[in-house]
Amino acid sequence: MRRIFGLAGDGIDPIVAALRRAEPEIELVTARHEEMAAFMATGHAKYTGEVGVCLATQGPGAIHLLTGLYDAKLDRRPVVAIIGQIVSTALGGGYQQEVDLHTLFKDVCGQYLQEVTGPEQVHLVVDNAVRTAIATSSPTCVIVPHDIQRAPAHEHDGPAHGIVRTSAVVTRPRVVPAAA
Amino acid sequence: MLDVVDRLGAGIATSLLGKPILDESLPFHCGVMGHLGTTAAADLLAACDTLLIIGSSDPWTEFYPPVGQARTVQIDLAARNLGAKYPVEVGLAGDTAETLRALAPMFTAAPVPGPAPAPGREWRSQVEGMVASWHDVLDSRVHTTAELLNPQLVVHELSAHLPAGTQVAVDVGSVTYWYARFLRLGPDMPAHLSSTLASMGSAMPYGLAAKLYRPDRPVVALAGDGSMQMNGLSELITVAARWRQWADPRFVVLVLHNGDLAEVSWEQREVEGDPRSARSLAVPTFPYAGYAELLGLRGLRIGAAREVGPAWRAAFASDRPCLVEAVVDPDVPLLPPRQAEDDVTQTIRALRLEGNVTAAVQLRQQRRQEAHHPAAGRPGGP
Ligand SMILES: Cc1ncc(C[n+]2csc(CCOP(=O)(O)OP(=O)(O)O)c2C)c(N)n1
Ligand SMILES: [Mg+2]
Repeated sequence: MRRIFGLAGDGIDPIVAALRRAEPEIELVTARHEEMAAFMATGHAKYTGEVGVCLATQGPGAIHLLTGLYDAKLDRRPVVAIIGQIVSTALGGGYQQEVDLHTLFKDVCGQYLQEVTGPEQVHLVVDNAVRTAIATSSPTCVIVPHDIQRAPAHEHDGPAHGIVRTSAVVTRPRVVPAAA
Repeated sequence: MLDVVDRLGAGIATSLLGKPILDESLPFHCGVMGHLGTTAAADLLAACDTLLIIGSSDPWTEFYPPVGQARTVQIDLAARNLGAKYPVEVGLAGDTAETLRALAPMFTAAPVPGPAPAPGREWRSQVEGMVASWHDVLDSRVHTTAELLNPQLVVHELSAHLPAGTQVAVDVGSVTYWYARFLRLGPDMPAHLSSTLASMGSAMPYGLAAKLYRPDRPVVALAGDGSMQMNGLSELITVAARWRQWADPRFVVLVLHNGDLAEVSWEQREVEGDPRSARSLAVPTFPYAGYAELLGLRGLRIGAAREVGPAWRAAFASDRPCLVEAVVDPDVPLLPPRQAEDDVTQTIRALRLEGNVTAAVQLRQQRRQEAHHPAAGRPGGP
């Protein structure tokens, strides 16, 4: 993935900063509106055959992604949405910009929707979001609370009890009809 | 796919999403099916005795053959899609290419091309007649003149100007109909749109995604004025901010400036029998070409048939992105092919309530064009 379509917000500041550090391997292509970023990700998936990725901040930014993600769902294209969430210590407290993202994305990203609860989990969640998007040709979603975005990255050793190591391996099967 | 089509002596119709897949200049390619499709595709589906559905979930169920008329086989990668839109006799879950490769040898050998009409080729020549009829209808549609510029002509003329390798992005509105019916894509011209969700505002972000993927290839984005105001105008800012980094700076945007949410206006008349809600469906006027110029892009505003060809030539010769603002007629009907007479009468009645004479005249004209080429082998045909 060389390109992520999105729009900044304080709910994803640490991710936006990480993307700056990752330049030029990954470019954050900014749209004027998150809905357009989601449509760009779907368009990317359609023109390239690859996975499209979009990024939006917590609350209003996340809400804006929905239509573009439904476009991917209904035309069956792989798209991964990465969205911010308020700090996990305040979740459920009616915090500024707190929106129940699980409920909001449950339908459109029904194949895979996961909130990251600790840095140890990031690899496996991102990996599963991508592999599920590809395998089901549909949008998937990764929710990252602000404090998790700020935590130091976790270097994996594992596997161990409760530690799942995954790898970014994707291949397609040959699908041949059963002989009639 | 073409090998199987030839072995069967079949005709082809595609869903909207399937339009870019096969060359529409093939004499047995009937074009896009459904409400926004061609008379040839409607005639093909109405008259066929066998239907092979390849990877399509076309939603226009009223355009499939009457149940019981055609023995139907469906191929789809997703087993859950088999028989889900139309009753099928045999469902084959598999990759299209793999499945067709396995099926092909089971069909008779490909017929030898040549003029002698073998008995099995009768149907093929019937299909070619449907296609020729549609091409006549198409010709009269795009050359119909009224007081305002004909949008069908604008989109049709684009076909001859598309540079090799152009990536096409299409919005939702009347332009979707004109794209489906009148735009002839060359080989290696990917075209995409928001098909199943049918969401307005898809052309500009799709065009941008295409351009960022292949900055060395031209892009053309086709949109209505309503879609441009919904969000296209904002994403034109993104184009203005980025075009200098593109190997090929050509990003051509067509805006059909008709001052109307025209597709909805026609749906109100056709589906509901209501007169157009004039105040609710008006799109405020806006200087699209002037705005492009303001952003440092090129802007061309056209309003007459003789300006169309030169505008396309200039747009694709431009050293920067170019917006073509075509001030066009909102009263060109989106008449679905072979519509039942009652539905046409309902639309005419709605137009009468509006006092919209120009639209009613054009609708009758479109019906006459179709009637010149009656569908073979279906009710109402010869
Ligand atoms: C997001 C969204 N809102 C509303 C609609 C309903 N709708 C379908 S076509 C259309 C009109 C489009 O108007 P315009 O872009 O001006 O194109 P025209 O049909 O006039 O050429 C509308 C409102 C839709 N498809 N998508
Ligand atoms: Mg309009």
